[in-house]
Amino acid sequence: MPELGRAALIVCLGLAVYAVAAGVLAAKTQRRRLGESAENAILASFIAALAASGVLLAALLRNDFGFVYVWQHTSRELPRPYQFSAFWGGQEGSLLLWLLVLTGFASVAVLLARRSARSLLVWTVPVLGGVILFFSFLLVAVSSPFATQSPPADGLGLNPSLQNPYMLAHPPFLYLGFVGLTIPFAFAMGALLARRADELWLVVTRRWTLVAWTFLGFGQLLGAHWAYVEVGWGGYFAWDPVENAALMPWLAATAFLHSVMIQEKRGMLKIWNVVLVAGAFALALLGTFLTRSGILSSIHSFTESSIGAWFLGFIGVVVVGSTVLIVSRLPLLRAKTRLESPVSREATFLYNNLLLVAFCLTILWGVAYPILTEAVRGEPVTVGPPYYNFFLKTFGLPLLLLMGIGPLIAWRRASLRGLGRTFAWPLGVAIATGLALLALGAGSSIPGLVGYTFSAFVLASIALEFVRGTRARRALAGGSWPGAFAQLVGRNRRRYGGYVVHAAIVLLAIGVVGSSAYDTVRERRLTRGETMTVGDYDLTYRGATRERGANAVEVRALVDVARGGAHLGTMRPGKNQYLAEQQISNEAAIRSDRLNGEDLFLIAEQIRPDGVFLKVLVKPLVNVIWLAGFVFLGGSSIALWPDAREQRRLALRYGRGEALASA
Amino acid sequence: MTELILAALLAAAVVVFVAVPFLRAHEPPRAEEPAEEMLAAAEERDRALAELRELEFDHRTGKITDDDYRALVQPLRRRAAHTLANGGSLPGRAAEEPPQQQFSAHSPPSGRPDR
Amino acid sequence: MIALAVAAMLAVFLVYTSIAGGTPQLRPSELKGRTGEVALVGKVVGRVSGDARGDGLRFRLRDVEGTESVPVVYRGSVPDLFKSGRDISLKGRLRNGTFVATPGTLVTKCPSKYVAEKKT
Repeated sequence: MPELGRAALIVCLGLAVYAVAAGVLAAKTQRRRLGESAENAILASFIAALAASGVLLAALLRNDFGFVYVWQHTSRELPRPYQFSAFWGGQEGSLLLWLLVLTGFASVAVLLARRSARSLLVWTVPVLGGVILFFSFLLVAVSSPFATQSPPADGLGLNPSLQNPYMLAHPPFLYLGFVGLTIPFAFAMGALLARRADELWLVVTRRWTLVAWTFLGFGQLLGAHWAYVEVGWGGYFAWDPVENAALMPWLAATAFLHSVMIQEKRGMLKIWNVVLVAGAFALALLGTFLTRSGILSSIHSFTESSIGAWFLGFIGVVVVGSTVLIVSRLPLLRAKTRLESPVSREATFLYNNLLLVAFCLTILWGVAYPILTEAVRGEPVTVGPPYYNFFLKTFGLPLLLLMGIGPLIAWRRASLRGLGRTFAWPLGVAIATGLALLALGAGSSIPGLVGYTFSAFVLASIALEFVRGTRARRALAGGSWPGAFAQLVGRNRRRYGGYVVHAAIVLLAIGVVGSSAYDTVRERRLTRGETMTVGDYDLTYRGATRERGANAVEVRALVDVARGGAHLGTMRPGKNQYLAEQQISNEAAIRSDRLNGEDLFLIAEQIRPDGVFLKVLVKPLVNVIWLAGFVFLGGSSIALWPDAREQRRLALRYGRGEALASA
Repeated sequence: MTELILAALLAAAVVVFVAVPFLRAHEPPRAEEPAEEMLAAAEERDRALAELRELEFDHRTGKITDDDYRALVQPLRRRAAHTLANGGSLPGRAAEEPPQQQFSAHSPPSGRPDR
Repeated sequence: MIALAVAAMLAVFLVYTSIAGGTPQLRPSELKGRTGEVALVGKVVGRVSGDARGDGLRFRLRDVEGTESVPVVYRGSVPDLFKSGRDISLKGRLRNGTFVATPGTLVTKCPSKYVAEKKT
């Protein structure tokens, strides 16, 4: 079957070339049938990508080791789900996944925009085609998943530490996010190519951006949880370049989500928005490149990997191309309105954007600097967590504060008197919380205390927004409190969905602050029967067990946990020795306290019947981070919910009878 | 052999799909789309109306004091009326918005919340 | 305009912190004469002896592509993937011909697969 796969990819490449050529011609000459034909090419490219994916998936599921890719990433005894996830386990497969999702999203975008935004679509199609062209080209000519060999008896299998459910969810979520950012980019470039300065591209892509951003955010949380429970070093984010690769486009997309609101309300920042969306897309490409090209292990593997140079080239084309396009359309995009006051909602959104972009750039610098210095000086330099954590505090804490200030300020200009009234209550809550925490000992970390105080401020301001809004709704329309609340949220989905998302970010901040600023770490050797005390917990080593599991020898240290004299249970940290792969994996033991969100985290080394070396971490509030993920999804869903009234309004504006399907 | 047939089928299918629009005898009429200036005017109009609506909302929820409201609402109303004149009337809107959202430059302030 | 000014300030600040903050990453063959704290990258060769939680884990580190090697003594957490033949990096300084590592800085370079190894 590999021939079919290869053929499908070539067909996809051909369709992409046609979409670009025919699309440009159709747009320039205003020929509608040619334009529709180009659109159909995009739709057909999805079918081709689907065919190629089907071939690869079938080969994976039936262990066809004649496919080099299948041999490299599966084995006979690999459980079924991981045969499936091997699709994106390697470079070629993940490129194919990119292509599949890209053509899928592009097709949906074309279908939705066909009826309601034709004149914009006409120029968007070539841009979509261009991106599809790049990925199909890579798959056809540089990194094909359909290389064949005479089949060996068994495959190389999957690293046992990757055989867990996270492998099934984390990469696809991230890819949905990365690829999703292509759509707003394509429409933005399409609008510029069409010499448009209106907001249609924003209206059409608003939900795309939100969906992609949500996937990217939740995908990162999945990755953090994976690192926490599976890799088990006691943390969830190490500022690894691969982790940063997903964080950067997410930050840019967050900035973009906010700055489009300014364009919507005040008609300002048009140039900033197109720059930002192009930047987010370029960062998504960069993120894919960083994760898949191997450049990060060392600069030597860069030359080994085939796709590195191509990716950098394409990113260069995207950056240069969009810059040229934006510069050429500058007169069109120049704003006629100015910022009226540094104390206004626009201003807080602007500060939010500056902070987010600044943080994103510091991460970019941290990732690029080692590579640059190695290329220039021949001697690489490492940039570690202290650098990133410093900037996280410098930019993150003000951002946290802004989340509370923004909703409370009016557009255009806020009078100080008005501010005093609206801020009084949240400020009071924040100060009270701060003092209470200080009394409880939170002064041990000043950034931590500041983080908690700001969090209290934001949560209070969000709660106040809901209360005030419900009260006003009830005064206007009567009815019960729950009814008024539902109506309030129902009529202002974006605003209140956004508030819920803000609450999720605050929960995330609280969890991060608690588990990093106020954690306790102790490590020592324990003999059998000996007890060590960490925080509130008393840990006693009882002995070791050694069991033969399915594919590994599992060595565990039995540790009794007590608190205040009460026995809480027995934890079993240890190691797994995988026989076939000759590898050892760390199996940390985690005990989560339901009531206070705290985790007791145990890592056991040198496990022997008479003694063990134990590393103990007490991480307060860490489970609030995972809770935040669900609140995040909830808020995003509210904001995404279609609003019929708004759609009608927009349809009238852009002169179409039917509602704008994706507005 | 099956592979080749399937590949050929795929290629043929996409070619047909891409050619379908040309099976129509002639170019369909150019769709009527609002001109750029009209779009800009319509966006201005919607922006002005949205600002007014938000001002009302902020006032009702207590974010803007009565004095600030009084100071801000007149210029906004005037601007909105101006954009309405430029951007054209809103045929579908009158029915869907509750009465207090409609206004003119001369009407008295509406929607004072109970305090 | 404000944005540009902020960006300029940021750029200056970033360049400053990186130059001050980065630790040079060296191969064993480049270690001679260096006395400050550096990051050492290489391949673990020969027998690994000792106790990382006791007197110190002892092994030799060789250039990934080369022959020069240096003896290393390390205390602290040892990643699970660590063994002779693996590529690793760690921080420390050269003292009397032996590279004495800073505790807890040993990181294994994960071979080709997805997730990079993270340790304390």
